[in-house]
Amino acid sequence: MREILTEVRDVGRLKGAAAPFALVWGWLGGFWSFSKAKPLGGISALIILVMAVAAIFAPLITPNDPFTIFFGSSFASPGHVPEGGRTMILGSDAVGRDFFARVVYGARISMIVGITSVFIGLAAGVAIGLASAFYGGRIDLFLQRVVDGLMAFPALVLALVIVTVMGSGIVFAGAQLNVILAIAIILVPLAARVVRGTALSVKENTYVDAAKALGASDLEIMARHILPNITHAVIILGATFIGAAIIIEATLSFLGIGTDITQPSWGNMIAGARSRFEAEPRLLWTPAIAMSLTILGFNLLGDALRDVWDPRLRGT
Amino acid sequence: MGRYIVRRLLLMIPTLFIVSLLVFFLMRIVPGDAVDAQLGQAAAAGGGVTPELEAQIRAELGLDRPAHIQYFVWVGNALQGDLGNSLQFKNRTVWSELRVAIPVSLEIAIMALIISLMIAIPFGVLSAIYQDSWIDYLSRIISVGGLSIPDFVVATVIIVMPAIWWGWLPPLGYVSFFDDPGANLVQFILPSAAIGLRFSSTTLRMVRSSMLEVLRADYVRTARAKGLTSQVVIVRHALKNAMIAPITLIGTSIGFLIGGTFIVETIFALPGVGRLTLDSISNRDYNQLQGNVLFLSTVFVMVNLVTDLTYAWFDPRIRYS
Repeated sequence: MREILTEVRDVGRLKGAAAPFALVWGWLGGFWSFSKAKPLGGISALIILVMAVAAIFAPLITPNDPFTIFFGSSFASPGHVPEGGRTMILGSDAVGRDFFARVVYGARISMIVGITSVFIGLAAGVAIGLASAFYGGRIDLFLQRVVDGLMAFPALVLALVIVTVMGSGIVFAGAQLNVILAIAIILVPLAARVVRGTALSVKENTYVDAAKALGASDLEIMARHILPNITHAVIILGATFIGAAIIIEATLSFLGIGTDITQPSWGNMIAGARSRFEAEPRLLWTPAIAMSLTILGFNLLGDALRDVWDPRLRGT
Repeated sequence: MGRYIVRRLLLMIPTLFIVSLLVFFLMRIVPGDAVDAQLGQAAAAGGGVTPELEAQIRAELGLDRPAHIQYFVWVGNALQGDLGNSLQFKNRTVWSELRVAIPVSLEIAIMALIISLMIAIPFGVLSAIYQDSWIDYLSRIISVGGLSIPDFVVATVIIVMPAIWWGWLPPLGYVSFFDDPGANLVQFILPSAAIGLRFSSTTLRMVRSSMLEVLRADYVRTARAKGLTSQVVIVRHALKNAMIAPITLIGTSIGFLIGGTFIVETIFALPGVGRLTLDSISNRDYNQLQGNVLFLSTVFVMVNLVTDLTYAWFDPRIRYS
């Protein structure tokens, strides 16, 4: 990873039109050396890239719209060409929608929910963990009791309650705000705990005392001296959290209280495929494999980053 | 040890207090409260919905009192084992519903735990002993793969595959273990295996890494130097100490087991706590939901406490830190 950072820094000095190309080239070089050192990490990055491309360019990749219902085309087999539509690569689902399009759009919902919920959860967790470690004393005691309280709920149960309490109000590209916030709230105490532990040890460094002696404000010390030293821990957490977030979203949808049933969420698709599994196994396997691969990608990435950044844990 | 237990028990009080606060006030945010649900029932039964009726129901449920009084009444009753009445079924209490559901979930959780340990311990130990051999790679692939497949996918596959291969479906309709142990086990083996398989991947990882650490310890080398056979060293010296870390994992993963029961109870139609909770959500029975969530989190906190105590018992360093 260090290679990537130096390359990026070098590119910063380039001027004019060459800069973007050099930047991309630098990233590719960094990716290559990372993959050579950590083959599994390289594979995971590729999986994530493919899923990200699917999520971002879904409308360009899919021949048909995922919401259009082609009448008379329910449970069509792969290769079927519906009236007024294009070839259905994976056939259609129960109501006659292009199944390939739905699986591809499923990546979009998973990615949006995964990334936004982890971002919110990490941001809040980092703030709580940092404040807890930096101020200590009563603030620490109070914040840690709140963290304990949140951690006292089994994750899925807490998610169920929050999703129910908030109700599905705001929807963004098929992803529901209540699902995103429910997952974020589950992640907050986990992130806060890790950040607090790491920040406590960073805080003991003499440069923190030096900054204090120079008259730096609390916020400045936290943001400029402690935070940069815990970013690795936070990024590793983020990778594994995204995998977990995707699982929770899919599970909630599968149980019928997550993403709206009309939306192409992988959890919804798997729930719908159960009754017709014998006749239409692809309806179960495709979303299940797409989802498991995505989660695998983020889990492997987390492991590889941990190996690179935290040599103490290498090989365990 | 005594002092440690007392300290941990005292620390549990603020945690449970915050849990009860969260549960209670979260339920108050729900759009449309219990009164609306009952008014809806009254309207469906053909009765007119009048403001008087609404006030009457509100008073009956104690909802006309200030929120903090309601909270203390609820906690006071809960401490005496009274979680209130079910809103969906007029003559049943929250606890009477929970009481019949608990054994079902408990049985699934225990069987899942046993299945996961039966996979995780042998594979984890072999994986550590023969590090970097094919069995190690196989175990690691199984464990990373297992972590990446959500348990509802495992459960769905595990119920449909026997149906396709042998045309066999697990019998529907719950049979109690005490009525017919055979039929009960047949019914529970698949749901428990679904959770157990998934759970074993986490446990396997933990067993492997903790076994690796122990195998490098000085006392294991001493045992080998004394001329003990490999088998004795592993079983009597290494395994015992290597099991400490996985024990804590079981404690912290009880939340995962609870989540797993929600899923398999839905897929296999078993009347456990998970099903009851999901039903209470769809029926807007907030009393039941509130009671279940309080119950589940209390169990969760208790199990974590017991695990920590076990851990401290095995490893005295924890007690004095």
